[in-house]
Amino acid sequence: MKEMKKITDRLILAAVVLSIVHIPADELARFFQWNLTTRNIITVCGFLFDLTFTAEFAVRSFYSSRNGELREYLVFKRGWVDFISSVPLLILDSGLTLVFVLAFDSGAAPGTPVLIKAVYLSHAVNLLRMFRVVKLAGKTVQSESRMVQYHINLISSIALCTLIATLFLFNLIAAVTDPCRPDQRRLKYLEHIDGLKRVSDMNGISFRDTAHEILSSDRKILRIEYTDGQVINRVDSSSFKKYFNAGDYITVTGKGCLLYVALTDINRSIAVDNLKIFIAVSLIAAMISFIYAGIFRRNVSDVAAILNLGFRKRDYNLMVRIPDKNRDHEIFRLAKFYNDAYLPAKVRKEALRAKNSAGFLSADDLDGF
Amino acid sequence: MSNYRCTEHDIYRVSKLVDHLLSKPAVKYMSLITAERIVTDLLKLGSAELRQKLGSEKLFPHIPYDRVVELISSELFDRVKSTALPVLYRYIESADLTFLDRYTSNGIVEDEFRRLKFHEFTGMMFGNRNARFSLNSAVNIIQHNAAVRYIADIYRSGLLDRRLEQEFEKLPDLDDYISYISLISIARGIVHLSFKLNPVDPDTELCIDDIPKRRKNISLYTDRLAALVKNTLPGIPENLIKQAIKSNFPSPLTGESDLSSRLVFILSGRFQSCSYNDKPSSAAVSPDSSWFALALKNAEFFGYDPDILEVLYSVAAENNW
Repeated sequence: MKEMKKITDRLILAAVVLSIVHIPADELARFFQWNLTTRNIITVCGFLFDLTFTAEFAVRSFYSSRNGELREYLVFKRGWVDFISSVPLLILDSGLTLVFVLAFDSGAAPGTPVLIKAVYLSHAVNLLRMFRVVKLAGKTVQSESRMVQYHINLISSIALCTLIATLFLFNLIAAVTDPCRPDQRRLKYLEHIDGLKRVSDMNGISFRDTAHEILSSDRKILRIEYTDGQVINRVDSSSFKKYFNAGDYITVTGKGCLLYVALTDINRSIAVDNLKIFIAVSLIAAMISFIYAGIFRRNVSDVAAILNLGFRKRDYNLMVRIPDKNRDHEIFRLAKFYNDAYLPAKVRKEALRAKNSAGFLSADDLDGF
Repeated sequence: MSNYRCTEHDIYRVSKLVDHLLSKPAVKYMSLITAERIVTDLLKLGSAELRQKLGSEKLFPHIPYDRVVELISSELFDRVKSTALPVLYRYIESADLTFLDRYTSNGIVEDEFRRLKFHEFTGMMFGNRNARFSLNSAVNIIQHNAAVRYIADIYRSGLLDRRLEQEFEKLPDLDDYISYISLISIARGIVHLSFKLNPVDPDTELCIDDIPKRRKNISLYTDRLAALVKNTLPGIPENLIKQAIKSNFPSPLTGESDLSSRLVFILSGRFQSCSYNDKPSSAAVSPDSSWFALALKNAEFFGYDPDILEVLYSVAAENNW
């Protein structure tokens, strides 16, 4: 059973690591607009990770609840991190994106305003994925000391959660209140086309003759379908099918033409923002796990461990190294007493005891043979 | 002593029992010589509970207690002999001791012969339980290269040059002095062997435990024992033997010029039980530095020479030993 738990924990840890690698991979795919097959694989992977962690959360909650420890799991054993980094993401991000991909894949249909809005809301939710760094930080503290693990987990949770929660809140507010950037773009192009139509009507020239030069010089426009039936493609149809899905462009139906307008630049700026947050979160987690953990070990937990061993083990007589700059810290003041008074007295006492080695072993030590 | 003839199975069971005892946390990390002493002390004590347990159905119901003790002691001795003694023998066989001729008044002795005699002398000491325990520090000093490390740095610092000149008139070569100290650390166990030393009472054999801890008595004991041992160790300077004997006594009982004995007295204390196995954390002072720092605080109690300790501490701290 213990072995099974160990294996499961290792698999979960591996999944956490892979899911963290998945975060920048997902953003890079968005930034460079990798081909749809690769991006779909990344989307499915994201869904599978979310599903795995949701299952993990459900199983842990079930067993904790069965043992009457649900509250302890949720509050003290990072159950809340497990929850935040799984269930909302499965429902509002990867699940939604997967539906979006399955329903409107390969450029067959452009994103409808509602879906586009939902996807852009999911970008805000996507930030919750950063909680996996908190999850990983909790699992990879390189110390056998429970004290180090506890304090490093605590401080990394506080720092990262504050950062992620703040950014998440800002993004959520922006997603709900600010006009959706694709919608803004749609409106802008609609006004643009209407303006061109007015100009063409005023001058009595056909819309295509008036607008063609202007529209075809716009690099964001992927395709123009004039009402007279002529179609201008900036991207050939095989590349379009290979690289564009419904989230990569919008359609603008105006008087005189239908435009396919790329959202690549907006997606890129979202990817850059998310990558910046990911790097910041990862660096904070790394700094706490490696630099602060080392400082904490040297100045607190290792000192306590040495004192503990020195007080308890008769043959452990290593002194505590007291840094000059910290000698007025309470723990080092205790260490000074230990170095200067306790250990010398212990050594003298042990020397007297060692003259008679009886007492190290007793008849009880034959037990178990 | 019992005449019980034990079977191969008995010997196998004794060997397993010794494994079991040596795996106990109290002795697990100790040297085999120290562990041997602890186990044999327990057996010597022979409490009723121990006798009852060893004679129980699960252990050795058919073997008399004395015979069990004998078997366990013999098993332990064999193990100690096969691990510790080769360390000392290897050192004696490989060391160049020709420099000792410069410190003897008996002329030149063939180095092979000198080493053979010292080899036999070491084997003889090893047969004695207390001397064997004392040799534990010599084994550790050799195994951990302690003499080489410390003396090289002491020479480099020059902090004990004046006192070395006091003992030798002229500063010995570094390699010679390293060998000199190593030999003293091996030979110092001689004090645990009993010899007929008192001309007034020629039948009584004396060892260190019988000597009153007074400077005058110790000086007499040292002179007589050295004169006796000198004959069995051709080519070994009498002063080296004297220093080896004196290295068992606290500094106040030796002379200011006995730097070597005082140095070995400290090194033997340090290396009697050294656990370099414990990987200390970065918050701990290194093992040797800790030991010398504590010894400095307890110098008076143990009779260590504080000046030598200061030097050893600075060397250990500098090298993070």
